[in-house]
Amino acid sequence: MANSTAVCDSFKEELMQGFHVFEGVNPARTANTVDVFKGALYTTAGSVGAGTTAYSASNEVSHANYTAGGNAITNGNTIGLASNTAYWTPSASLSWTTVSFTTDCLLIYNSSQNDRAVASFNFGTQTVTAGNFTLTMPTHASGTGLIRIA
Amino acid sequence: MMIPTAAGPIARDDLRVEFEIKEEDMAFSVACKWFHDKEEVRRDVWVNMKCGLDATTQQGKIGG
Repeated sequence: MANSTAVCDSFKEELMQGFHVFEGVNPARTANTVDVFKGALYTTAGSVGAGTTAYSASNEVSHANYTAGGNAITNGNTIGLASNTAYWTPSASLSWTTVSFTTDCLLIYNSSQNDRAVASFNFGTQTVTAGNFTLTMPTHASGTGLIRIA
Repeated sequence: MMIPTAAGPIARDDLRVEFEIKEEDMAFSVACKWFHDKEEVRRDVWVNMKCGLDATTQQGKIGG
């Protein structure tokens, strides 16, 4: 089974359960703070996809300059709503400096909520050698936002 | 200027650079490949996500 592109099934359910807060406060939760979301990279041997429920270090890329669990996502965009679509997009690129690995998948997960999975993105096999790896996010708009609910 | 590589710092003038552009379903990427003689000693990659996912569409589909 290969890595694939998917909004995780568990995330859909957990949205209705109020586990994830991308912006503002949720009066139903004890801690009224915005959750911290992270992005982790996986090797081509991974099987991250719709069935992924939480971050796992299994088949995550490994390098001295890559911290297990990946990087925190810059979450500075306001949740958008346009054309009957709600959307969220990280407000900055994810990048790693002076690394060597091969990856084809980014898993976004909620590190404030027991590392619950949000979505995975297969961007094709990419090999970095003693260099920098940068993931640039799409335009924060109803037709392109990274995660959209139409 | 010295460029950090897998073979240690190498003078910029001693390196040859090639760019490789690929397009996938949901992203395009640019790889900057640095060669010393014929050996690739460094590769930087930029992946640009073209668009994200609509949570209400079939898994594995993008855009829409």
